[in-house]
Amino acid sequence: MLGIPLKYNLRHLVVRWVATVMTALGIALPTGVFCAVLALNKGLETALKQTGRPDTVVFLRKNALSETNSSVSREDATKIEALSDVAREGDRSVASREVIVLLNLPRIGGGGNSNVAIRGTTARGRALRPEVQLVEGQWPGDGLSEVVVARGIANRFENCQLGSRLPLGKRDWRVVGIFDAGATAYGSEIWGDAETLAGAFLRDAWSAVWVKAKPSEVKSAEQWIAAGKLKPSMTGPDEPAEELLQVKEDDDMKSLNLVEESLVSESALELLKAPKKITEIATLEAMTEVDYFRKQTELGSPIAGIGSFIALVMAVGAAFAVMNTMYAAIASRSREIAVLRAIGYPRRAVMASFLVESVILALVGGLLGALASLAVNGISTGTTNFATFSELTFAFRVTPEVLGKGCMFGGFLGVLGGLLPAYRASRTPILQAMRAI
Amino acid sequence: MSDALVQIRSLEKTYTRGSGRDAQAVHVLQGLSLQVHKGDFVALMGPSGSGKTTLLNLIAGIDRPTAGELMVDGLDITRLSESELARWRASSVGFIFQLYNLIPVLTAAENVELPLLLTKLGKRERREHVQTALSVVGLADRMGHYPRQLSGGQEQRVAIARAIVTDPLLLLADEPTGDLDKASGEEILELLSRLNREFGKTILMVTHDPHAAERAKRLVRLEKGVLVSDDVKAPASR
Amino acid sequence: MSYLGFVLANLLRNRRRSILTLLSLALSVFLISTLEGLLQHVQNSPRMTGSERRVIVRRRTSLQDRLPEHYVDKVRAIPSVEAATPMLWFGGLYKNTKPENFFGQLSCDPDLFRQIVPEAEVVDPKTGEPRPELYEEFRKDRSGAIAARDLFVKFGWKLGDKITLIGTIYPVNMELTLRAAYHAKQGTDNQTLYYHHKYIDELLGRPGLIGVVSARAKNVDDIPAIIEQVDAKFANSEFETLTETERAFQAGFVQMLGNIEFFLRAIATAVAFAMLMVAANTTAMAARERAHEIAVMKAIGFTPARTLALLLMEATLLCTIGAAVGAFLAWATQGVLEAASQASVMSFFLSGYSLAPWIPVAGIAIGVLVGVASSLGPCWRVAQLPIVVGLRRTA
Repeated sequence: MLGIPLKYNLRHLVVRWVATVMTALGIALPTGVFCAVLALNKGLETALKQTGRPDTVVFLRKNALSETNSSVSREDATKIEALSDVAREGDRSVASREVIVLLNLPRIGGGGNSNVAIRGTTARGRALRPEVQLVEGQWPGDGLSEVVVARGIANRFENCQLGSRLPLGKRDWRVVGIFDAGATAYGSEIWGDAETLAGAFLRDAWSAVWVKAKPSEVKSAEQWIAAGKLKPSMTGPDEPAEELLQVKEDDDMKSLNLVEESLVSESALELLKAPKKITEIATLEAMTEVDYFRKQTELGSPIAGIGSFIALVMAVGAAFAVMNTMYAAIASRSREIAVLRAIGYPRRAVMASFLVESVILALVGGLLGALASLAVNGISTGTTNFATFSELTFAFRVTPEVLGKGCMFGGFLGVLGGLLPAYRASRTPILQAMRAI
Repeated sequence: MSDALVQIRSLEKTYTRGSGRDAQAVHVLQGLSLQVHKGDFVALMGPSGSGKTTLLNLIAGIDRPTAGELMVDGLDITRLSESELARWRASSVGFIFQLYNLIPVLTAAENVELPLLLTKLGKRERREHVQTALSVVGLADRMGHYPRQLSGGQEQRVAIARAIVTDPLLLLADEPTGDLDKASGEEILELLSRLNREFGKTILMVTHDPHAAERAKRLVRLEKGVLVSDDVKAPASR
Repeated sequence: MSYLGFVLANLLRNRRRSILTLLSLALSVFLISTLEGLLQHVQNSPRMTGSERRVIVRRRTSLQDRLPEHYVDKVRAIPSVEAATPMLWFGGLYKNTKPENFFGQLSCDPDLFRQIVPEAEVVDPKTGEPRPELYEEFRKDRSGAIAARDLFVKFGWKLGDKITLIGTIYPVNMELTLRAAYHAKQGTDNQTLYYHHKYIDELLGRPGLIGVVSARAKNVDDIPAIIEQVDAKFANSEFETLTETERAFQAGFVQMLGNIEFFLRAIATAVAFAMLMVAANTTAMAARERAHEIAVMKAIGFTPARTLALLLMEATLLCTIGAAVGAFLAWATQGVLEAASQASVMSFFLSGYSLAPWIPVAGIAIGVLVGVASSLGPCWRVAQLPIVVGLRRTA
C-alpha cells in the first residue's frame, strides 16, 4: 500500500508545536504515574523475590503463612534439626531456631508508627543469610540486650541508630551495629540474639526453624515435575479450604507450597515432605526460603492498587486530550487531506497516516513521562507487608522494563485517542473540503 | 478646511517584511494627503499593493501610521491608546468587510447587536436599534437566521446593518462587493448609495471594480502609496 | 443577547471539543476530589455516631502481643466507662488464601457488644430490614456469629449456615454458625464477623488472653481521662498498655501503609498539572482558530481587555462545568468505590468511605482556578494580536 510519507506528519507536529507539547505533556503525566506505580511494584517484588536460596528451608506452624503468626515447639525444633536431609557442619546441623517479635516504632520526622520485625537469630542463622553484612559496629553478644539494625530501618525509624537505646519489652536494648542486606526482605528487620529475645518476650516456643538442606542438585519445581520427582498436585499454592483442613492418609503431601517456576534443591524437596515425619498429624509445614518470601507478594500492596486506579482514570482523560488535538489537526488540514485524496492516496493511507501521527505524538509524551519517572528511581521508602504485618523497606526501581511499559502505555493512549479522528480524516469529502477555505 | 471630517496630511506607513537579516522595509504609503467631507461617498481605487486597504485600515483606526497626521472629526486618532481607539471605533466607525465576517454562531440580529453590547443601551433599546438597522437593509424578516442560512448578498447586508447600527460618523467598506455575484453586488451598492443619500452617511469604499466606483461621488486613485488622481463627479443618477 | 449568551454560543460552536475537554477536566476533578476524600477518610474520617466514644486498649509493645483477660474488668471498673469487651483478632482463612476472601474476625462479649457498638444495627441479611430479635439467637449460641450484611451478600451466606475459619495465628479452626447480620451506616466498618470470646478461649484451652479491650465512655469528654487512667493503672506491670481512641487506633493501620499522604498528594498534583495542560491546549486551539473572528470583533470596537475577558469567561465556564461534573462524579461514586475495594486489602480502609462536603466544593474551585490560569496565556496572546494581522489569518 502506498503510504503518506512520515515526514508529512512530523513536519505538522513541529509546526503546531504548542499543541504538540501540551498534548505530549498531558500524556507524560499519566505515564509518569503509571511508571512510578510499576516501579513501586518492582521494588516490592525485588525485596521479596530476590530473597532466599533454593536450599534453605523454613519450618512454620501449618497455615501460619508467616513467621509472625507461627510457633514451633522446642521439642519439634529438635526433631527438625535431626532430619537426615539437613546439612551438617561437623556433628552439628546447619539450623537456626528463631523468634520474631513485632515492635511498634515511630518513623523519623512524623508520619506515624509502623511495626518493625525483630528477629531473634543465631550465628548459624547469620551464616544462612550471607547477604546480610555488618557495615558498622558489631554483632550482638550472646545473652546481651543488644541488637543490630538494617540500614533501611536505621535511616527511617527513631531510636534505631548506632548507639541508640531501643525500648523493647521491659528494658532498653542497645543498638550495637548496622547491617546491610542488599535489596532483600531482611533489610527491613532488626536482629538480636534468639534466646535473649525469647526470654524477654516470654516466648516458650520458637517462631520458626530455618535449616540448610544437604548439598544436592537444584532445579525449578517445574523441572522436578518433568523429571518425575514431583507430582503436579504437590505444588499448587491456592488449596481450597478442605485440603488445608484435612490431612488425607494416602496423599498427605498434596501441598508442598511450591511456586512452579522457583528453584528448589533435591534435598530441600525432601525436607518439604518432612513435617509428616515429625508429628503424627502434620502441625508443621515447610517452605523454601525463596517461596516463603515470594508468596508474600500475593497479597499485593494497597498503594499499588490505588496507583493503578489513578493511572487508569488519568489515561482516559489523556486519551480525550489526544482526541481533541487530533480532531483540531484534522479540521485545520481538511483541504490538504482532500488534495492527498485527489492525488490518489486511498482512504486507508489517510487513516494510517493520522493514526501514526497520533501515536508519534503519544510516544513522545510516553517517553517524557517514563523518563520523568526516573526521578523516583532508587528512592527508598517502606510500607507494611500485610503477610507479616510488619514494615517492608523497598526502593522504587525504574527498570528498562518499566520504561518500556511506560512508552507502550503512552503509545496505546495515542491509538485510543487517534482512532476516531483518523477515521474521520479518512472520510473527508474531497470536493467539499477543496471548496472550503 | 475645518469642516473636513477626515483630515490626512503626509501620511506614511512602512511595514517590515521578513525578519532578522532578511528584514526588508516596505513603504506602503508615502506621504499621502487627503480630506474627506461630511456626506462624501468616496471610492478608493488602485492596483493591488497601491496602499488603498492600508489607508482604509488607518482611517478605521485598526492600524497605526508610521508618520503623518490623521484627524477624524477633529480628533487625532494616532494619539489614542489601544483601548481608547477601540472605544472610538465602536462609536464612530462602521466597517464593512469583503468577506462579511459575521460571527457564525450568532443569528443575524445578534450579529447586528454585537457592537451595541459596547454601548450603555438597555435590552429593549438594543432590540429597537437592531430592528431599525435590519429594516434599513431590508432583512427585518431574517432576524433569527444564522449566517450559514443566508445568501452572500444577505450576509453582506447584515454586515452593513451591523456597521450602521451604532450610527457612526464614518462607514468604511473594503471591497464590499468583491465576493458577490453581479446582482447581489448591485443591491449592496444601491444600499450604500441610499445610506449616503438618504441618511447622509459619509462612506469610504475601497474597490477595484470601476462599475462600483461609478456609484461614488468622488473617485480617488492610489498608486504605489501616493495619490494620483482625485475626481469629484456629478451625483450618480437613480 | 447578553455576554453570557455570546460565550455560550461560542462554547457550543465546537461541541465535540467542548465535551472532550469537559470530560477530561471532569475526570481530573473526580480524581483530585476522590484522592483527597480517601486521604481525609483514612486519616480522620468524621465518624460521629458512636466510634468517637470508644477507646481501644492494647499491649504497649505491639498489637501482636496479648493482654490478660482480667484487664477487661479493670477497664470496666473505671467509673466513666460505660462498658468494655475483650476482642481477639482471629485472622483465619476462609475457603483459601486468596486476599479477596479476607475479612475481619473479632471476638466480643455478646452481652455487651450492642451497648459498645450501638451503631451496628441488627438486620435481616436478605432484605437489610431491621430484625433486632436475631441478636438473641447470636447471644444464645456459644459458637454463633454475627457478621456484616455486606459479607453475607458477598459470600452468599444464609442464616444458620455453618462456616469454618482456618487458624493462621492460632493452631485451631473455628466452626461458626451464622446467627445474625448487622449493618452500620456510620461509625464501624461493614467487613467484620464477631463471635463469642468464650468460644475462642475454650478452643485455645483457656489461656485467658485477649487481643485488645474495646471500651465505650459514658461521655465523649471523659475520653482523655480514661486513656490516662487505663495506661496509669497498668504502668510498670508485666503487661503495659497503650490506650487510644478508636479513630487513632484505625489511623495507625493507615500509617503502616507508609507515607500515604505524600503519595496521594503527589499524584493529585500531577493530575492538576495534566488538567492544566488539557485546558490550556483547548483554549489555545479555540483562540487560535478564532484569531480572525477576534480581529473582526476588535475592529467593531471591542477593546483588547474586553476581548480577553470574553475568552477567559468562555474557558472558565467550560472548566467550571467540567469541574462540577467531576465533583458530582466523585460524590456519586462513593458507594461504588467502597464496593469495588472489597476484593482487596483496601476494603478495611475504605469501609464507610464518604466524601466530606467541602471536598467537591474545593474540587470545583481548583477546576475554576486551573481554567483561568491555563487560559490566561493563550487568550492574552490572541487578544493582543494586531487587528490587521488577525484579519489576514484564515480560520
